[in-house]
Amino acid sequence: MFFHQLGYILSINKFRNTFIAVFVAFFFLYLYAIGNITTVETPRHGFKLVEDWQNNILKSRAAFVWEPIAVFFLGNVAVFLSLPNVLLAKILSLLVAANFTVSAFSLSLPKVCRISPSKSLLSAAPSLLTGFACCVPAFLVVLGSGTAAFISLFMGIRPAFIPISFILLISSLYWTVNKITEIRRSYEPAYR
Amino acid sequence: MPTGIPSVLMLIAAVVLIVAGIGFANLFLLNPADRGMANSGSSVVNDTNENGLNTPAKTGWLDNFNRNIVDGGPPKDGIPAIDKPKYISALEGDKLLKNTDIVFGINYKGVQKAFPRKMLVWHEIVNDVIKGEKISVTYCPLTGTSIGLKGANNSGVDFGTSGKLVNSNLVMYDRQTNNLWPQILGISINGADKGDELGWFPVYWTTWGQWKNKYPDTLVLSENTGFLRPYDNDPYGSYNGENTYYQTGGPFFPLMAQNNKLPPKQVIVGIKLNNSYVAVPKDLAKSKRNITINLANKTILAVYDYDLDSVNVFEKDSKDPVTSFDAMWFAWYAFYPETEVYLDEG
Repeated sequence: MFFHQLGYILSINKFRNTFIAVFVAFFFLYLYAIGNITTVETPRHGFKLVEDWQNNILKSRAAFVWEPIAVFFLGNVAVFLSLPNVLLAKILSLLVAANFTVSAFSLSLPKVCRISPSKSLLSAAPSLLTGFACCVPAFLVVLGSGTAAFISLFMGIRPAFIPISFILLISSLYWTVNKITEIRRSYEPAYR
Repeated sequence: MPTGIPSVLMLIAAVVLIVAGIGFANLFLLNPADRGMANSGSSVVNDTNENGLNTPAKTGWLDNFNRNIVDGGPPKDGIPAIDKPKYISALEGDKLLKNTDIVFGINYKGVQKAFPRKMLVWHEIVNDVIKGEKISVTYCPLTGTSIGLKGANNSGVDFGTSGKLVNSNLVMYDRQTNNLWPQILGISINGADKGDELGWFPVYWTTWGQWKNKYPDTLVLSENTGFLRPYDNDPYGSYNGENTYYQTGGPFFPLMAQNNKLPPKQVIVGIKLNNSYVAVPKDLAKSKRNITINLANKTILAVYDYDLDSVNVFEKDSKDPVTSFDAMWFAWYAFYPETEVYLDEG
């Protein structure tokens, strides 16, 4: 029933388009957050493949972040390609998009049953904090060293951020779809 | 909508509470005795006995550092050292570097090489071989230290990044024994080689324009490092920009000792000789050009090199170079709270 409900929602043009848009947006946002998409000062065009790329595909840089094996330079934009990073980005984006879409669908249901789509973004938030700048989490570099007290705490739990995001996204999606199914059974005689 | 069902927000709140709990527990587990008490009554003089073995006094001091190691974020070798450096000519280097770009220059056994800071900020260690001898050029962005190191007792070693920090400083490990070596300390703090000290050679913190002007035949580290990084970008913000990590604020990680005699990120020239330490503000060394210091019963000269905007430190009588390097004040003091500070007193 879960997949049936999900399939029904995605069969509606408006919500399928929402799904695709959120998928694409989060996909690029995640890759930007982990530094696989970035801007460079010196514009250039080209492609570079690292030597011995076959042995570097699964080389880890940090928990759930892998070394890139190629880079595309597109003017001032550099796209670093890591196959595991892309795969993880796709899976996270699918979950975020699904969460957002089913929540958006819930807005068409009776008012008391609506679920804010922003909750799906909250669930994905931990995954966006896994980017780091050498020794320091990237977002803390932006916030400044006043966050020093937080760093020890953050470092200890950062490896759990991706699993936490997965748990939140999957549980949220499952719960939301089931709620929608119950509500539709209550309010749509034809659905029973 | 039925209530009482766990919502996403409740799940997030639970996660935050767990995280906060871990954080508070972590803070209390940091040994308060080591905060601001790096020397804890231990002295580093008389650090070896008549058999040349490290005495308990020195190993106790080293244990302090071991206890204050923290997780820097990346795993072991998550910041990859460059093990197979390739070099290009100065002419090709001009295509990669502006004259104002900072480079770390070495002049070792008559071989001159420049290591761009914008590359070393992503790798922190370059393991190289010069005329058959293994050496390493190291850089820690968080403490502003670039130090030339080589194996203790002339043993050839390769270094990697452990992913750990102490006093915000890079903790290296050597691949031969897995011992840990804080970069500023240059001493092994664990393992069978605990207490052994790495060899040092000077690294000149200068600019590309100044370095190639003095050494036109220099080689330059190539971007063909075996890794892909946006070398034009600095993960800590522009080095010359305002309000970036390099200029403002304090350190990101806990320190074993702190002192506000100087601004935390003021660049000093740290000098160490026979377990005696002195910090000379770099701008003071620059303005005075020649400074004479009495350290460990030796007369030391700190001479400003106008060509490279660097400070050369050597013994007056023997002309032997003395271990010295630029550092941020907070980092130098955290390692050596017994340090003297050379200030212009007229």
